[in-house]
Amino acid sequence: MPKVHNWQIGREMAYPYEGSYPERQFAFVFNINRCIACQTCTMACKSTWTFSKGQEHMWWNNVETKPYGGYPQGWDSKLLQMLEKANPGGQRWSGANGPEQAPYGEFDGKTIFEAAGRATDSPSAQRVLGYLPTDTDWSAPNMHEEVASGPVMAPGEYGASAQLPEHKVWFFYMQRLCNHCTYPGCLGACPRKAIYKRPEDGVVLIDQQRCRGYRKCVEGCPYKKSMYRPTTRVSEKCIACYPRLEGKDPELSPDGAPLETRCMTACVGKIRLQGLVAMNDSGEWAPDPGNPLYFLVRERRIALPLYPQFGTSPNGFYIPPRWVPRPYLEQMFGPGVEAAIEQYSCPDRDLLAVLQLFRAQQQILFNYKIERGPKVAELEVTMPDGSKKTQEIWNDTVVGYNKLGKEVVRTTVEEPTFERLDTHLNSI
Amino acid sequence: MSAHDQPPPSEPQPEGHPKNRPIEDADPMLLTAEPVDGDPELMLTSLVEEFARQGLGADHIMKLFESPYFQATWGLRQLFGEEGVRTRIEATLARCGVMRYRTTHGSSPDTTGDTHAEGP
Repeated sequence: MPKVHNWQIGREMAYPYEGSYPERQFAFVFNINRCIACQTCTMACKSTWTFSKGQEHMWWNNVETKPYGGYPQGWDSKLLQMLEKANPGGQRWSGANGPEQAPYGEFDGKTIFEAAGRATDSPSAQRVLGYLPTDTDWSAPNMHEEVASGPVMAPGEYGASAQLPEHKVWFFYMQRLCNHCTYPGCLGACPRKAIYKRPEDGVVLIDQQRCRGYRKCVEGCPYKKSMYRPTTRVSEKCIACYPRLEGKDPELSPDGAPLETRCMTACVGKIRLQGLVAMNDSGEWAPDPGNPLYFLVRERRIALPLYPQFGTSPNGFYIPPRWVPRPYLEQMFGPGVEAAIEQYSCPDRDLLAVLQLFRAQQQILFNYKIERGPKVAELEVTMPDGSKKTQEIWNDTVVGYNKLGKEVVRTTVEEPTFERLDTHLNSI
Repeated sequence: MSAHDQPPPSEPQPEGHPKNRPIEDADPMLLTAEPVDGDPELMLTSLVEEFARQGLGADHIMKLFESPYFQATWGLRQLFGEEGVRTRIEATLARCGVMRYRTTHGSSPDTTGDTHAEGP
């Protein structure tokens, strides 16, 4: 197999094809801390792309509950188990917080491409380690993920005896869609070469004419975001709303400026920021300090890739939740978790400003600048270890620009307000 | 005795009550999950700080804890109780306040040239 450079695992790795990189890459950052699983993104996607017969099980965008579940069920735990079986005890990282070339350190284990030949229980996956989910796995998003809920019954009241105990531990919501990986597992697994990355934006697409429905892509995608459609007998996947990326909506984008996808623009919780980042010849993000995604992912390393150890170099990045035990998060996002949460818990003025660009408007931001203002407050925030720290608030303004260099949004951080407690109502 | 009361002779029958029989590998009732240690108190504090950073005041935040459709917040309310949640929200906001932002959209398709303040 040819060797390619994967910056997310800090080393060269085997991949079925030579590295070939787009001019720009579709990428996104999700702030897990803010998601309440309203599923508006899920329905925005569903109602736009997958509402037809044969697409009932297709949720190109879904929000699942961790650590309990996933869609298809157990997609990540099953693959992690296969990798562990292929390389017992060897799925480890070393040298966390490394240099620019290896920001999360180096992954010493096997990726899904490297482990494929070692797997004993996946004879059909020659080039990519994976599995084909069963119909049951696809049967219901959110199955077993959230407990039944309803009014609280008093003892003896009708219906009270049917109540079950509820989980009393942490959990968080995981927003997922195709990561439009730099080294896609689906592309590597396809025997028909029906899957390709667009050279202009890195969007991964399935050629519906070439596809013969072998489902190797379904098996090979570690994130299980390629889905088979029984009515057409070919596979389908997220297309990153590419007409919007191309700025071809005459109503929303009369000047041709690229727009964010449907799932991104529908987010009411403002947890999503999507962009098109510049790439260089080695498959890395080209330095682009003015791009908000570059700032969050490469400069600050506050947003981390999902299961980077799979080796596909996913282009979806997550700000990890602050309250979740670290070993779980490190398995999911790699060794950069602690540093990311430390920064996010007490954001400095630049980070606080850029965080205001999330879902600020519909156009893709290619650039931003910060106009400095005076310090207006100091707040006490909770740090990861439960301790308190002082956060400085500055009256800064962040300005976002679209592809055409036009200002599209401007947000100013102002002095926070405090509500007087009842006990101090007349204390003035 | 009707035919329905008597199982077909070819089907093997478990011995005794089902709960007493040994668990088989493919048993659907086998418990495969295990609890992972965590701190719901930290989860609650982090969520409240997060909503406050977005500009939501105490009443807005409390509303998110009142709907069973938002399981994260609803689950915490079940754990700490309504008063417990309210007390914690007030204590957190007294410490970190509620952020305010002023956003102006340029030629965005959302709105044209409008300005609005966020927060209470």
